[in-house]
Amino acid sequence: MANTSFYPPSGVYSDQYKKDMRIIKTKTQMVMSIAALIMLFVLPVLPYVSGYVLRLIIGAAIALIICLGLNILTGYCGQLNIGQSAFVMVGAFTSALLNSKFGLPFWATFIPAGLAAAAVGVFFGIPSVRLKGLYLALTTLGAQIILAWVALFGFPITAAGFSVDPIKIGSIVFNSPQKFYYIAIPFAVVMTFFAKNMMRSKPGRAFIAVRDNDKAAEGMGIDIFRYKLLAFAICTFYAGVAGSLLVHYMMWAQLESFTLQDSIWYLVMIIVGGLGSIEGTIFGVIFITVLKEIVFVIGPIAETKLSFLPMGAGSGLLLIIIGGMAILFLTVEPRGLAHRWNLFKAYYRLWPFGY
Amino acid sequence: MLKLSNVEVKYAGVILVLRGVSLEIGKGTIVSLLGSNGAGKTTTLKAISGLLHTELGEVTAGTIEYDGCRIDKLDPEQIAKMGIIQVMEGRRVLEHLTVEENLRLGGYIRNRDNITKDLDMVYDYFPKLRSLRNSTSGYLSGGEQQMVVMGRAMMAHPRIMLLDEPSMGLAPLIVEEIFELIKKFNSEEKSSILIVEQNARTALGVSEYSYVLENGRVVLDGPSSKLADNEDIKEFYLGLSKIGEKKSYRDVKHYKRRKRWL
Amino acid sequence: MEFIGSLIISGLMNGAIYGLVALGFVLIYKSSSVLNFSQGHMLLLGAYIFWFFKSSMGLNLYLSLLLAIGVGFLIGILIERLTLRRLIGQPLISMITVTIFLSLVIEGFVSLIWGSYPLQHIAIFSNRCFNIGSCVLTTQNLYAFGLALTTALALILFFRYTNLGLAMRGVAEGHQIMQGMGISVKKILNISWGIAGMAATIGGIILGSTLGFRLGLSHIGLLAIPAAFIGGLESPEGAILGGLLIGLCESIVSGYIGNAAGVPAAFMILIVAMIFKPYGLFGLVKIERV
Repeated sequence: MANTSFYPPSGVYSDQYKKDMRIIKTKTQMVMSIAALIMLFVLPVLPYVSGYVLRLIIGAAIALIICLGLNILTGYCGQLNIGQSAFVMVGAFTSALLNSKFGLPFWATFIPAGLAAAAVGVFFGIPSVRLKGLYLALTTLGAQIILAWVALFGFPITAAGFSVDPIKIGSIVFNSPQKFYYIAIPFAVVMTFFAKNMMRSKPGRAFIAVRDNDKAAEGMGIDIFRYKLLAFAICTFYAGVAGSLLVHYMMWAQLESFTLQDSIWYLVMIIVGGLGSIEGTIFGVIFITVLKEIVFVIGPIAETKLSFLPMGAGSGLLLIIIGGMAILFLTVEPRGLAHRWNLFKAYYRLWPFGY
Repeated sequence: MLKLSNVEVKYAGVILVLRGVSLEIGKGTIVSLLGSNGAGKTTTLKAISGLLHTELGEVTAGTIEYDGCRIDKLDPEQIAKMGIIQVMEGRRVLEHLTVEENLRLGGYIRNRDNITKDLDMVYDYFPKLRSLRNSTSGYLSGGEQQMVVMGRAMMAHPRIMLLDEPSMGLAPLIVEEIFELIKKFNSEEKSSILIVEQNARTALGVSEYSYVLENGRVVLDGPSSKLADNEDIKEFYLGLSKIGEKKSYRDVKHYKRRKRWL
Repeated sequence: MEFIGSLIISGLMNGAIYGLVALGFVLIYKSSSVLNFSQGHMLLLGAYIFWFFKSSMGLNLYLSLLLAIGVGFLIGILIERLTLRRLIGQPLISMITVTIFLSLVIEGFVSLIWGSYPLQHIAIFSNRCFNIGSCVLTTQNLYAFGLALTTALALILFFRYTNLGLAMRGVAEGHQIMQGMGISVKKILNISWGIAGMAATIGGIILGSTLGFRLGLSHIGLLAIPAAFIGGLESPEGAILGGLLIGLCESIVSGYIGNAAGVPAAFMILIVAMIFKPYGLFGLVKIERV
């Protein structure tokens, strides 16, 4: 299958490797990127943008960080990870416990949270030396189950849930969606940029080599075990940082936020968006967040309207609809939104010479 | 018997691979399809056997006719039942199954009950396989795997066998052996054979008629013996000179001259 | 001594059920290379359909059983037709996601028609108990065990010695290759999913009569996953053995440590076991030639 994502706009050529590697290749792209950043910055003060919308966006931003990590491990490096939310939990509880027991502020704990999650992630990544594909996915499933059990039965404090201080910069307390927006979005933007940058440099290429044919990669001198572990580390580091953000946003740390269902939703986000693509992650996160929101909003309404059906029917109906839609979507475009987007770009760039 | 007329094939709606290919395969003949990488040879075969769908390809113009009826929109299973069997490139054996199981599956659509006769036929063509009948096919060498996939196709008693690069990655002696067998199969079973090959010399040697494909178009066709003498073919596909002769690079002009059919 | 004895027995009995569900996984994986995350939910649906025939329509027990199993077969085919048909040849991950979404759809469907509260109980088996020493065995356990083993045996023989079984193994190797040989991959997938649907229904009926007909039935699927993996995903024998092993392990660990520690312990054992035998006990090693 040809890769249609590499058609630069007409008239744009790179005559040096450095130029070819640039993320932003044309003036138009630069202008659009700056405009987008300004839009993001200014969003909360626009009319019609309520706290509800901001809450959605913050949720999406945090999910974006989680999914970026996941896409790096699963999309770029090819190691399927069904336990991402457990790693988020590790980061979350690390940050929350440091805050609760030692009074450390967010700014001192989010990196240790990321590192703790990374350490656990690498531990569960060790089987990747012998296991492939589906079998490796199982270890991550095991991670989800084992870590959840440890959190539930290992430490009484984590089982019950406990409160966490909000983030502070000087005298500003970020305890509302409007304010937290300005923490979440910068983090999301910076980490997206890091991810994109990493993937176009040496580790990124190594990951792709490991994904596509690890024996051949090894034959070329790439230490596949080391890079697999690196991918696990990056993925879970991202998860840990996101977890830390999450608990400081909700100001509450509890087990129920980190379930197997969530792990699966993250996977779905990157699959729908497009594996192995940073833009795809963004598309997928937005699409699924909107979809889930529709369920949560319309579900209870449907249930009261359709009261002649048994209890639970409303949410059931909604599940059928989103599930059905998602299945439809995946049967029509299994490579995700990013692929569709690339096809679209290729089409309009080559128009009228479609092929 | 098999006729392609102006076939156009696109992948994903945006990538045009075949730009109007016309070719004909008569009964009981061996035809070869030559061309360098990316010319569209495998796509042609897949268009005939109906396997484009899983790769998001489709025949967007032109017709493919087999004994007078159109087959370009049919399912691959139906096309195979009509007697057109493709041996795909890359020696794709069913890896975890044994040689005999692979062959049995080849004969699945034809003759499930009386399969031993067909198995014997294949083992007569490929005596080596008889000794390997219970080995896992994924672990066989390249030549043996090629024998397995060809034997698998033979089990279905094809009226047309489509061979995609049978010599790829094989030692020259094995290549000779395989092409001998192709000739034998053609004369004994009276099946037509369409061979897609990059090894132009061997292909021209075994076939009666040849087509040359470039960039999705047929640029030259004719009886193989005539093509082998064609200047352009000699320079671009057969190597610069006959085996044994030496040619100085000073005489090489292919970087200075275009192919005459362009 | 008696304590561990009863743990072993209950572990084996549970294990038989895990094995039965794992069989369904293996069947689908063997023929379509898809790990069917909705297997647990197919079990749920099958159980509810049986309940429908028996309770709502008041049919005779054996008739309900027969009808439910038949419908289970059809459901398997229906699911395959609607969703997987389009995904032949696409990457593994999208197939898996589709089955995950499928489980949501099935759960939604079940809630829609029957609501999310547990249904009225149906007892299929008499409540006779046997005593071996001081361990207690019920007829339900024995039936489950026996059924799981017989089904496994039947499937094993089927795969190894029949033409259809061979074709199913071939389809697992490569859909495109099989299509090129004229074998209708669609038909084969239909049949394998149909059989898996049947197996899930049988398992669901047994579980429903022992645990009750409620939404939680689908969670049995969770422990059946390590069972299928430990045994090796391509092996029906492995599925049963894996199920028994996991059942045993879960029972013993939970018995001695408590707090349902059996579940994570099962996974830990799975991880360790797979490091030594990456493809499971009887699985097919991926043949790689670079």
